[in-house]
Parts: sequence; C-alpha cells; structure tokens
Amino acid sequence: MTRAAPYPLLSVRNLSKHYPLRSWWGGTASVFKAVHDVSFDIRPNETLGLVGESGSGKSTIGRAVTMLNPPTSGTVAFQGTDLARLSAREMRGMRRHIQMVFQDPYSALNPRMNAGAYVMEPLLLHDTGRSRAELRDEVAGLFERVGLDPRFARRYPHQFSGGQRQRICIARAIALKPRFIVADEPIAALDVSIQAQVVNLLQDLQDELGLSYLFISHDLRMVRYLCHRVAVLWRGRIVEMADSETLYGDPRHPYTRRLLAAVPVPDPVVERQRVSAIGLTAPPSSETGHDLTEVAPGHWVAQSAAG
Amino acid sequence: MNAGTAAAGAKPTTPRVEKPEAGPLREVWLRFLERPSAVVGLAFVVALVAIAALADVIAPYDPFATDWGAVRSPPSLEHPFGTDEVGRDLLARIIHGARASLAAGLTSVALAVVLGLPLGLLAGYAGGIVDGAIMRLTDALLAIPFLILAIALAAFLGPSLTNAMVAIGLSATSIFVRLSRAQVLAIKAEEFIEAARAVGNPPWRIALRHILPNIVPAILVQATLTIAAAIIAEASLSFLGLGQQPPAPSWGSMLNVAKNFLDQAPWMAIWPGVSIFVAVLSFNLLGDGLRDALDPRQRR
Amino acid sequence: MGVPLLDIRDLTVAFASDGGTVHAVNGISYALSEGETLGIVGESGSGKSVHVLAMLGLIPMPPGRIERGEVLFQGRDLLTLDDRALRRVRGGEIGFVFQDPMSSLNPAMTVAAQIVEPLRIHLGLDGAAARRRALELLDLVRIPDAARRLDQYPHEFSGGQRQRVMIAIAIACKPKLLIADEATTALDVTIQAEIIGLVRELKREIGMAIVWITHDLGVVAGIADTVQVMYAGRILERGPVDDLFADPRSAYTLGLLRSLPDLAGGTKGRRLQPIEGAPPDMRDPPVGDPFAPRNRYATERCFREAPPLAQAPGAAPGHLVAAWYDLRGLLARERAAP
Repeated sequence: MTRAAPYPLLSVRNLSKHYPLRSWWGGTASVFKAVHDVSFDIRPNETLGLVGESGSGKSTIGRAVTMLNPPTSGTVAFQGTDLARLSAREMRGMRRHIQMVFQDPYSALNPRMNAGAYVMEPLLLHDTGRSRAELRDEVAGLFERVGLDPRFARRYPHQFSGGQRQRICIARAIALKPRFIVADEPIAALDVSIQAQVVNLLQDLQDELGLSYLFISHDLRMVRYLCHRVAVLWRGRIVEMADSETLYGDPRHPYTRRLLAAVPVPDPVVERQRVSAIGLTAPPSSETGHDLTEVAPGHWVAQSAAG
Repeated sequence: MNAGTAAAGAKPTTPRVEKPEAGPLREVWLRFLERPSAVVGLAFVVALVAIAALADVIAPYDPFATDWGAVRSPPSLEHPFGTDEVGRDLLARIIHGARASLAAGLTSVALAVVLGLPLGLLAGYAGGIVDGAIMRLTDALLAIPFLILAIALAAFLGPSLTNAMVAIGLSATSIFVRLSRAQVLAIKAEEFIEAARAVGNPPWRIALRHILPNIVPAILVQATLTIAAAIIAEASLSFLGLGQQPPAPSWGSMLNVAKNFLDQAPWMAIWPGVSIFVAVLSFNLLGDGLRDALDPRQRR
Repeated sequence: MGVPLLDIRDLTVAFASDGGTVHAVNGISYALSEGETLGIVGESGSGKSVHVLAMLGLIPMPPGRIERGEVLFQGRDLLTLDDRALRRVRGGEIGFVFQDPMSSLNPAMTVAAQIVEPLRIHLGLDGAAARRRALELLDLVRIPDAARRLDQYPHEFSGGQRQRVMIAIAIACKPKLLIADEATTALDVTIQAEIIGLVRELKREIGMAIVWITHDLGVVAGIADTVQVMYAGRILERGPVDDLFADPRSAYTLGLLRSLPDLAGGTKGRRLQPIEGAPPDMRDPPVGDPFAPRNRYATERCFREAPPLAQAPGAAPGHLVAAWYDLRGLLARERAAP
C-alpha cells in the first residue's frame, strides 16, 4: 500500500450539522446536534475510517462533506477551496473530483436506467463533447475495471446481484477519475463472502488512481483492515482519532474501548471468554469531555478540560 | 438489509441473469399477459378504438339519415339495434357515438396529464412556496366534486363537445397534480436521487431523467382509470345537454332522448347504456391490469 | 438422551416465482437436543431462515410450498398440524425473535398488552396474574424501571430495548425452544453484545434449546454448542463449535473464515481472500455440490453429484461435512509445498 502524503487533500474544520426541533406551534423549541464541531484531515492516497453506531452522525458527516446535505457551520476545504462557499453550479463542477458510494446498492441504482447508461452519466455531465462511441468504449473499460462483463451494460438493476450492483456504483464513482470518494457503509448490505471482493476492489482502485477515501462503517474489523487512520464518533462528536494501529492497539477513550470490546470474534475460545467478560457491564459514564487532546503524536482523545 | 433471507420467502434475492435481453417493458408485457381480465380489457379497448376510427366504413347507415317509415322500430334484421324517435339507425349512431366518448375520454385525460404532471413534478421537486401555492389551488379544486365542477365549467364555456372535454380535463387535472407530487416525494427519498446529485446532475436533469421515468407507470395507470371516469362524465354532460349537441350522436345525448320513450322504446336506452358500461369496464380492467403488471411488488 | 427435541428430516421447500421455481431448501435433515444451542450460519438465499419459517407455518403458501419432509417437535410432526394446533405451538412451546424489533411489535399496543397476549392464549393467565408475570419478564430481560415501562408504547423504547421486549414475549411461556432469526443484525455492536449476554444468561436460567440464525461467524462462536453452515438450501457442514472453527472441513466454511479481516490486525497489509463468484440462482441450482463453481478444491465429481452430509474422517464425533474432496489433506499438502 502506498503511503499517504503529508499534506491534506481535504481539511474539515469545526463542522456542525444542527437541526432545529420545532415545537407544535411552529417556534424553534430546541436544536438537535447531529454533528458538532468535528475537524479532521484526509491526505492524498489515504483512507480515513469513520466509525460509530447508529445515530452517531457518521452518515451526516459524509453528506455534509460532499455538500449533499451542507453543514450548518464549519469549513470543508478541498484542495484549498471551501466547498461550503461554492454556488450550486460551482459545486456541481467540483463533483468530478469528489464522488460517493452508497450503502444500499439496491436503492442507489435508478431502476429504470440500464447499467451502462448509469455508469456513463457522470461522463455525459462533465466530459461534454465526446462521441457516444467513445463514451461507450470508456464505459466498457470501466465495467472491466470493476470486474463486470461489459456485455452487462444493457441490463437493468434488478438483473444484478447485490455485489454486482455495488460494482456498478463503484464504476460510476471512478468514471471521472476523482481524487476523493466518500464510501458510506459500502459493504454493509452485502453478504460476507462478497464483502471481501468489494473491499479488495476499493483497495486496488486506491493504489491505481491515488484515491483518498472517507470510509464510513460500523464494521470495526473491516475498518482496521482497510483504513490508515480512524476517527471514532460518538453522539455527533469525534471522541478519539489516531492511525489505526494505535487506535486498535491502545484505545484511550472509554467509548472506543467499549466499542472494540463488543466486536464478536470468530474464534469460539476467545469469543466465549469475551462474552462472559463484558456480560452486562454498564455503558461508560455519558459525559466525558469534548476537547480533543493529543496524547501522543497523531493520537487525539476527547478529555474533559480538567482531566 | 443484510441477509435479506428473512424476506426471502416472498422475494427470492437471486439475480436474474439468464435472460439478458429481457428489458423492463418486455417483463411488464409478460406479466400483463398473465392476467385474463386485463387482456380482455385491452381487447375491448382496442376494439372500441377500431370501431371509432372506422365508424364511417362499418356503420350500416348514415347516423343522421332519418327514416319516417321506421320510427322507434324495435331491433330487427334490417336495424339490428332498432331505430330512434326520428327513425335513425341506432347501431350506426352507437358506432359514431363511440367517437365522441373516446375522444372525450382520451382528450380530456390527455389535457389533465399535460397540465397536472408538470405541476405535480414542480410542486414535489421544488417544495416550499411553489409547492404550497400549487397544492392549495389543487385542494380547492378537489373540494368541488369532479362532475359538479365539470358541469359548472361546461355551463360557463357553453355547450359543445369541445368545451365538455376542456371542462372534464380541467376538473381531472388536480388528480394528476396530487398523484405526481406524491410519487415525486416518494422517489425523491430514494438513494439513487442522492446518487444523481452526487455525480453532479443539475436539478432539471434529475427531475426529467431520474424522477419522471419512475413516476410514469403510476400516471399511466391513473390515466387509464380516469379515461373511464371521463367517459361517464362526457355521457353525463351530454345527457344534461352540455356536451355533444344534437343531432351529432353521443351515448349520453342518446340516453337523454331515450328517457322520454322508456315505455315505448326501451332499446333506445339500452344500447347506449350498455355501450357506456362496456367502455368504462374495459378501461377499468385495463388500468387494473396495468397496475399489477407495472408494480410486481403489489402482487402477493 | 433419547428422542431429540427437534428432528428435521429431508425438509424441502420451494417457491413459485416469475422466472420459475425457487428451490429454497433442498432436503435438509438435522436434530436438536433439549437445551442445545445450534448456530446456523449462511448468506442470503442459503435457506437458513426460510426452513425455520416454513416449519412454523410462517411462509405464505402459495407461492411457498413444502414439497417433502417431516419436522418432529417432541415427537409430533409440525407439518401435519392444522393452523390452530400450530398456533398453540408457536409462541407457546416454541418462541421466536426476528430481525426487526420495530416491525415485530404492534405500535398501537402497550408493551404490557403485547407480553400478556401469549400468556393469555397459551397459559390462560389473565388480569393481575398475567400482569405480574409480564413484570417479571421485563425484569428478566433487564429493562430498568420495569413497572413504569410496562404501560409504555414501543416507540418509547430504544432499538435494543425493543429487542429485549421481543425476547420477553418469546420466552413468556417458558418455551422448550427459542428461535432467533438475525435477532441482533439490525442492532449496534454494543447492543448486540448486551443481547447476546442476556440470551446466554436466560439460557442458564430457563434451560431452553436455542436455534440462532445469523450471517456472523463471530456471534455464533460465542453462543453456539453446535454450528451448522448452510449454502444454497443445503447443509454443507455441521459440528461442535470448537472443532468446526479449528478444523473446518467444507471449503465454504474455510472461505467464510478467511474472508474476514482480523480485529487484532493480523490481516493488515495482506490482501483479503474473498470467495470468488456469486451464489447460484436457486431457480436453476447446480446438479452437484452447489458450492463447486466457487470452490477451487472442487473435483470433477463435485459438479456431477451432490455429496451427502457425513462424518468427517478424523474429526470430532458429530462433525459432519458434505464434500467429496478432503479439505484437511488438501490444506496439509498446500502447507507442505508452498
């Protein structure tokens, strides 16, 4: 695996996404902080894992970073350009560099568009003025690149399996040779035997195209395997962030520890011990501090100002 | 939805790859053919269209030709459906009347779709004030019963078949605004719309390329069913003298005249009545069949 | 041990579909003793869920159809029971928990009413007695402040708590057998760990047998006495949990284990070893071993003839495998000649 460059490709600072909760007479009763004051960098050729449980805000961050659901405040600088300040038209142009792969390959494909047209769409939008024949050849190449038979281009989504559909989505995402892809739970809907195929594909594409990924997942095993660095999200905030060896080897935040301890291990001896050990222990005290402190080079942990 | 096996009972998740050229349309057609009632409905609709198109050729008599020697004569070999109060052949008038009914059904629904679909798309996709304005107007129109509104409009525009069609079309528009808006809202929540934004589709292209094709089936089904309602509406307006004007034949206006002779010449009422019934039933069967064929999930 | 609690023989289930008959379950046989925990592992389309739903009369028929087989529960064939008799078994002697705790609970009924329901139907409990028992059950599944929460509605409970309520309903009548179908799949890992801990404790307290259906080998490792691996409507391997994980004999089991990255970081930097290809189309299942097309160890015979499930040579007693090839020998040879 190639090593990530030292400077950031994407720089997220103080990103927040708040939703006003309206009371029944229409006034703003309170604010729901889906994501609060999150900062991180992603370097060229690097994969940052974003882990957390449902409601932790990890998908919200993915959509805020890609401006599909823009943040309430904060900056998202991509190669120095703050995406939040771009006009809708400028952002559409920017999308050639920033792509997304979604969780559910069943609903992420337009049921009335054939696979070839779907993969061709970004080329039509951004590489205007090329002939159809040229584009068709390129689509065929993309199909081959993700391990699909180019003859499948005329087929419709319902004629593909889940794994094949995710390959179609990936082909579409890499069509414009982007620099950065947000992958939001890209393997969660796939069968175990297919997950490894897709992860290998993502990794090969990273090496080939020099891609950076924001890999959003609740699969802690896969995150350790795939990601260079990992950020743990809890209730809309990052509670710990480090390179993955450090984070898995030396977790500091109680929530990170709890999360890692909960992952089942496919080894009966280990797993039986583990299950009896955690038993029904209470969750960690809910209020720890919010300030990220660098406890070791590159290892950030949320601690209360006092501690 | 990992391991969709829980639901595998109802929908097998294995990919269909053995029929590479089976596009969605072909599958819809195959599912449609599985339904006998739908096929019967389609056959009747096709027959009806053929009769209306070829009326001049197949009608045994001139629908306007009066025959004072055969006034209100019951069905016979010479006049299979009998004749009316001025001796015109009823079969010929029923055949020509199919034109008015079909024209009214198709034209008014076409008008309703052409007006309603874009408004619904706009309301559903744009949201906000645009949505609010369009929907309040639609709600107001929907609050008035369909037929009453059509009657009022027809009375306002003046009695003629064209005006009747316009009136019916305008009255039916709100159905299509509501339906397309609801469909757009459902489709907008799908992940592929977000995926379309993520690759940089401008809004108009998302609406036309990604949303529209997905709501067409529902619109098509509703249009077919609304044609049936429009045929009844046209007959009703004509019955009230607000549609097709005498002496031009229309099933509704034929019923209007026939009501005066129910005792002496019941066949004058029976044939237009049966015609309306068959036409409406055919379109309803066709619409139901289309719905089942276009949405396999509805099947249990 | 005598008569097993559950004895499934040659169960075969098919579904009519647009493109032909889907052969979902193809002649599976296995037995479960009292108090035993059986983990069934498989992917979508493996038949792991369908065969259980079918034996409980929970698949729509048509399009579903039970083509062959017997399901003896305490000596009675469930497949011959009429609806009423089957309903008495379901939720009474056999409790079950499904994947989605939200849609399995009625949003318009209080939790108390839903726990009391099986008590009334199966045990004839009513009024105060039923309510007392409902309270006990909520306590048993560790819902804090149970007395107050009894009269709340499902939406007032979190996902994990709803699954606890589902478990309370499932064990309300002290079933002999609890069937859990992907019961923790929709839950977060920390909640999953809690639910699994709970089920293990309940098992100690109540002593019921459990069939735990999942796609997650890790979950099975911690909870099961016996593991059964299913693929394409067949059982490919079955055995005591330790032996099966330590010495897998089916290439599919091995493939599943190898395709998982290691939480401890042992796989870091190495390529994952996926199982190539995709599961077969069950409308036209392969003649021989269904896994043969994806199996690099497959022999010519695997493509011709489906192997029977039989004792794996040299493995622990009761460790069965359906394979014509000798995986242990092949692996040993691979290690010897790298």
